[in-house]
Amino acid sequence: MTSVKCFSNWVKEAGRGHLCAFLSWGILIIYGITMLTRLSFDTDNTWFGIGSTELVWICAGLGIVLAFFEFFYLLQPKKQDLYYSLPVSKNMIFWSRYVHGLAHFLVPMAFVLAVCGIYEGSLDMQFLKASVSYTGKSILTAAAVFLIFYHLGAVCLTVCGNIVTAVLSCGVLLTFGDFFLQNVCDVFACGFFRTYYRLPLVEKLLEILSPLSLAGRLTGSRLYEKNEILTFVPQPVFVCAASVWIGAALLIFAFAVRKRKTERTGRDFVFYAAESTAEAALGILVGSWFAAFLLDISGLTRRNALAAGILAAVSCAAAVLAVHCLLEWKFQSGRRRIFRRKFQLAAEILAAVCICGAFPAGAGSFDGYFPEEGKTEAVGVSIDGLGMDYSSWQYIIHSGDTYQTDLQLTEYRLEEEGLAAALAWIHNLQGGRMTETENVYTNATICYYMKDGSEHYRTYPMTYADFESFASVYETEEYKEKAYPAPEPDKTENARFAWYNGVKETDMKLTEDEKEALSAAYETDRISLKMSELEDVLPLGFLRVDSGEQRRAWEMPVYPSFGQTRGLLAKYGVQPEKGIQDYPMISIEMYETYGVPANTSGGVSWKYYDAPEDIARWQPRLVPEYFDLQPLLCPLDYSEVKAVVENTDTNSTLEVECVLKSE
Amino acid sequence: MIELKNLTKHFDRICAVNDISFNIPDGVMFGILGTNGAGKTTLLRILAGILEADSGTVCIDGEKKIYKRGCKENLFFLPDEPYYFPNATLKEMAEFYAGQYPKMDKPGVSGMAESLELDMHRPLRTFSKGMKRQAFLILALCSGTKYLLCDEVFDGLDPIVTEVMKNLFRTEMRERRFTVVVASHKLNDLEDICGSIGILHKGGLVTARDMKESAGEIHKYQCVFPEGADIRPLSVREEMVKCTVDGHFATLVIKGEGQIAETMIRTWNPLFLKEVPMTLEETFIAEMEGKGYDIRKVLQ
Repeated sequence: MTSVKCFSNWVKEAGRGHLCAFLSWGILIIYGITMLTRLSFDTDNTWFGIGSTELVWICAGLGIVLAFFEFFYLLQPKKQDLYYSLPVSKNMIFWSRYVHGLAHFLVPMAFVLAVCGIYEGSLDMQFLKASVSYTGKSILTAAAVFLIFYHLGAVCLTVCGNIVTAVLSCGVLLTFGDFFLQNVCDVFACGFFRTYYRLPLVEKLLEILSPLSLAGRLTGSRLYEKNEILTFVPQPVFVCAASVWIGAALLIFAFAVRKRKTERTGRDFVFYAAESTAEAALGILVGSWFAAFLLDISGLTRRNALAAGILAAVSCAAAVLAVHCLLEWKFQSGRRRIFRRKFQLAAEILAAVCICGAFPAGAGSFDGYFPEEGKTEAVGVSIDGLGMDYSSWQYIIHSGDTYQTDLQLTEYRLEEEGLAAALAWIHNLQGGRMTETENVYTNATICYYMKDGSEHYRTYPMTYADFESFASVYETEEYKEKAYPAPEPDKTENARFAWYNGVKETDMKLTEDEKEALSAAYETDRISLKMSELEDVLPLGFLRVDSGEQRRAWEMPVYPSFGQTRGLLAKYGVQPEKGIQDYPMISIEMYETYGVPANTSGGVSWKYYDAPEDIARWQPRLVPEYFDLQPLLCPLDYSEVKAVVENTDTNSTLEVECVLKSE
Repeated sequence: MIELKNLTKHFDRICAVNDISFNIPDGVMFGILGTNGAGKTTLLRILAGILEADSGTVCIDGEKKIYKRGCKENLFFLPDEPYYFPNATLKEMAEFYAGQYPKMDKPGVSGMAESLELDMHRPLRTFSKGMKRQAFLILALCSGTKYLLCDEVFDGLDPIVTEVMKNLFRTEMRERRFTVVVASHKLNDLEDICGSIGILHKGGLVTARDMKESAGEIHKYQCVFPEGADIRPLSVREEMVKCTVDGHFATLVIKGEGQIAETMIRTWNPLFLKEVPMTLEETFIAEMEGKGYDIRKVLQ
């Protein structure tokens, strides 16, 4: 028997029972049929390869399951007695199974994706152009995801001696990075760093160290736009990370399968080194997590950083010791020697304490960070409650949501005159850093975009005086360009202009010159806008401009101080002063919420007004909810109000969501 | 020939095989005796290439790398509880083994299965323990290997089938130079079939030798001595392995040549003297006790 023939015989032998084939082909064919059905209805929002979350889960799941099926014999002493007594090497048995598992995923996966690609290409001309590259990239990325999980499964099976440990190890390997970064690093950073907002390094590590996140990044599972998905190529850093995962796992299990001792089957780990690694990894993870958990629930980091640091170190050391002893007890049988690895235990405790100690030790440097001169490319600024509606602001305060803040940090990216003003303002803000949380007026979140491509995020609490001093940034032309974006006057010839007064939208029929003049007037008025003005006034309405191109539309609030814009609007037939108060009102519904005891229904009162005197009383206070742009500067009464007004132009009624002006 | 030299194997702190050295010549049935935990299975698994010895060497036909395919093609290991694939039949297992052992005699399997009334097409999982044992013994005998390593070979077989299987072994050994290494904790299983025996105790080798040789050196006599005869000087002689006296009746186990032993007894003028055959157990007990081992403890 030649080696090649023997190998192919063993690949066939690995298929005994056809479990892998049945599972892999079955799932992928079902996936293919589902995708073909979905594609027949919708090719714009259905993705069979890149962009498909289902495919990521299938690749990951099959990777783990096939690895367990293929290499499960390593946990079966009787089966090993049979195989290892046969005239065939252990390596050949292992690698033939490896190839078998690989083939039973790659072949059906490539087949199913190719069929889907051909089918979609026959339906969708836009897809047809990218069909070959999209399908090819999808096959490659799906294979990469499968390989990551298949190899991780193989590592667990070759290193562990029984199924329980193998499954647990697999779970730990898949979640270790995620858990450590989110439940330890993030918690410590949030607790000890007073200016913490987010750490890009931790986020990047999370995507690299968590196989599931990495799989998502490789396959573009966060993309929704068709063009983006069709042209998606995974970032090199993620390709490298995937290669490292695959390669490192391959090296580990190739080594493990050679050195694995048959007699240790049934034990937790077949290598003493694996036992030590598991002890160290779990000890440090649990120890640092326990410390983070204690600090989180005690809230001590905010009150006394030194005490918090000591508590973290002590609790962490205790937890490491407990985990180490527990695992030592578990790994041994008969007469147990719990402290046989004293130096390792000491190193584990030291490492965990260092992790816990690194955060309080680095807090001063983190909080006092200010970029060196000339190294900042841009600064993103977001102030809670400024340039956002009330509900978004409340969402930030109460649930810690970062969507709106992140959006503003991208939109309000200052690179020119705004950059200098912003850096000067931030420097002052840092100089008078607050220690008393009672005086906090709001929070400013800053992103320093560095010339080397890195990003540094900080959140600073602000007093009212700090906020007032922000006018120096707000009133720069660059900031206003970001806050009140408008089309360039000479590029508006094909744009559609409309006026929205909070009740209805009116199309404006303008000539090219009129459009240009209106845009130029808006730019002029915007320059003269003062931040302090916004404390008293609400917009009169919005000038809406749609360029006709994809994603090029502007919503331009017009304030009473925008004299030139108002004048031109009036000239072009719009009544900018006409607001909700000027429409005949039919009824007003008001919803008010109030606190009720737990497990009690109610908590909402509803009032309906249609009597003329009631309407006359409430109508002057109504503000269309759409006008709620500056809840920090110009707070309103945020009761939920629905006003039904009469549209005299069309003899119809309009329902307008409103809030109330403060009394 | 299988040569074991200073073979040692530890499982953590437990020494399963402790510095064992002996040879297994070709064409014999070599029995390995020992209580549970004596190291019999470990020794067989090392010989089969499943386990690696911590130190020492195993040499099969002069080849030290016994994990090589060429070497393992001459070796079939039949464990105490052999593995078979789920739902596999005897026929399928024969085909599987035929793929591994080039000299596998598939028609032979059918023939033996027929003679033992085993259904080749019935899943092995539906077989009784004894039937499974028969099925695997058939596979082992038909594998065409030069060496067969069996763990608890006749365990679970009824006496009739045990005899049938022993006959099959004898036939096979007669027809080709076939070496069988059998591990068992029951001396009775091995006594009428094994040519040589090795006894393991707590991982160490107590003895390993040819049975005929052993049997030829030890003799058992039943004697009746006249009233008043004092045989105490006889019972303390160096050659005397064991002397049991019950009134006038005595059973003597004497080491050495039979003629000399008989002459020695006759000097005490026995009224009756007869040499009786010794069982393997008696031979070994006698020999072990002669060496100072309480062999009953070893073989209990």
